[in-house]
Amino acid sequence: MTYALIFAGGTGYGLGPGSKPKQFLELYGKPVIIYTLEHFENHKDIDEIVVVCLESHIAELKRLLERFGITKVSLVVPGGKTGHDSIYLGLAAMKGRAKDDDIVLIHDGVRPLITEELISENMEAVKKYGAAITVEPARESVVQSDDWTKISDVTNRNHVYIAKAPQSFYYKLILDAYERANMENRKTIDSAQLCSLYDIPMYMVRSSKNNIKISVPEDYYMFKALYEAMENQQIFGI
Amino acid sequence: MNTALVFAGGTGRRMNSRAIPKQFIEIHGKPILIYTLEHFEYHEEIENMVVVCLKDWIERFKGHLHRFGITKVTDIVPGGETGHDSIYNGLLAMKGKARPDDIVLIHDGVRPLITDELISENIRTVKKYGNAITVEPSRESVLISNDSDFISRVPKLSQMFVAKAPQSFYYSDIMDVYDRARSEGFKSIDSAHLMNTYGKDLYMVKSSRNNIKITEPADYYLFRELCKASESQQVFGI
Repeated sequence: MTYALIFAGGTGYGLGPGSKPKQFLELYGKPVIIYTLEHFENHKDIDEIVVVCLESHIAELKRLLERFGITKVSLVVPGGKTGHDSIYLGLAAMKGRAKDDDIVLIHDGVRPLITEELISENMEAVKKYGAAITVEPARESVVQSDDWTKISDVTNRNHVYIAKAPQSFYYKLILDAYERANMENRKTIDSAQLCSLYDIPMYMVRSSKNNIKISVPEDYYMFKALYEAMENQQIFGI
Repeated sequence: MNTALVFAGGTGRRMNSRAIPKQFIEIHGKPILIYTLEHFEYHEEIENMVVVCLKDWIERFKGHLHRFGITKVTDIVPGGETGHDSIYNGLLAMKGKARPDDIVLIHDGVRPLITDELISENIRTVKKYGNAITVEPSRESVLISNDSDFISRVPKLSQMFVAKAPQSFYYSDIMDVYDRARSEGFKSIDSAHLMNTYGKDLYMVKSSRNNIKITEPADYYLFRELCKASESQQVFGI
């Protein structure tokens, strides 16, 4: 079995107080989270979807699933305090249901622009290497600083990549890593960082283009601009 | 004296725009490069601008300067083969005119979304520390891979920054390292990279928001969408 574990637990803080949680922002009457879920819903090799959702918005999410005809969601799990906790809660909720060698694609609810091929490539890479992280080569130089003032290193751009999603694993491998982190009281930014702590080898899958994460207001405009451009491409074939 | 050295020497290879280099693509009738130059034109601390321009476009560019009322451009220099060569050409053109302790703000012609404050902050930081590299905290995990297949390490996200522009220096400091690179046949990715290669300490300035570099079609759509959004904000005051 292949699962998609979608993290939709974030609040809207990145977009300013009082705004909707970003995964529920709508473009042309459809929420961002639905755009995201549709990629997994329509992919023939994805069997089930588990969504980790802000507790206060679970009822709303369930209404949306119904309205937009998303049928593969088998579990909706309340989110935790951080992204790390939320992923862990999602993985823990799959216990008893998922087998050790099932594949889990962990994805952000606010990354609506992925492709069928990217999902397929993630699955294939897990079968070959056990862990697959979607990446994009860095387009701008990346520098390091420990004190926010002085630059301590300018990394060689040829070796620098930006982590995207999905980040995909065999179920047991990733559950074990999160359980170990839980016992050791460690929190991580994403599963890639977690696996690097435990020296788990991770293969890099090249992302499809425009795999943006909607977390600040301009990202919403970016999504809108890209979505419109893609619609126009259908017509003009450019 | 403070000089803006603006690089507009790139071709449109990644833009699918065939004939039109990206810095000359127009949005609402105004070339992207002019949007960029206006920030320096209207900044009271900037005395003049040196523009490194694609050779075949210099005549048309002069027409744009006239049409859009840009008066501070004192030199238009033909671009070189690479970005590195072009910056070097620009710096060379300043020889004899610029004093060693003049400040040069090196900027990309395809970064039209900067602010008055960012320019001021660059100048202030050069005076305080000797140079200024505009950066943005990385919002996604940064990965290092030595073999471009597997992840070698995941540095701490809180220490990772993406280098933007302007990148600002005292004229003699930056001229020296470009002269040295010239004599050693070394080409760098950007000025920060070059200074770092030669062991110079570098200091960071936090970028204003949306300081995007227009290199791909998606970036163009985003810029257009942000232009529209900021025009609407003038009206609605949001």
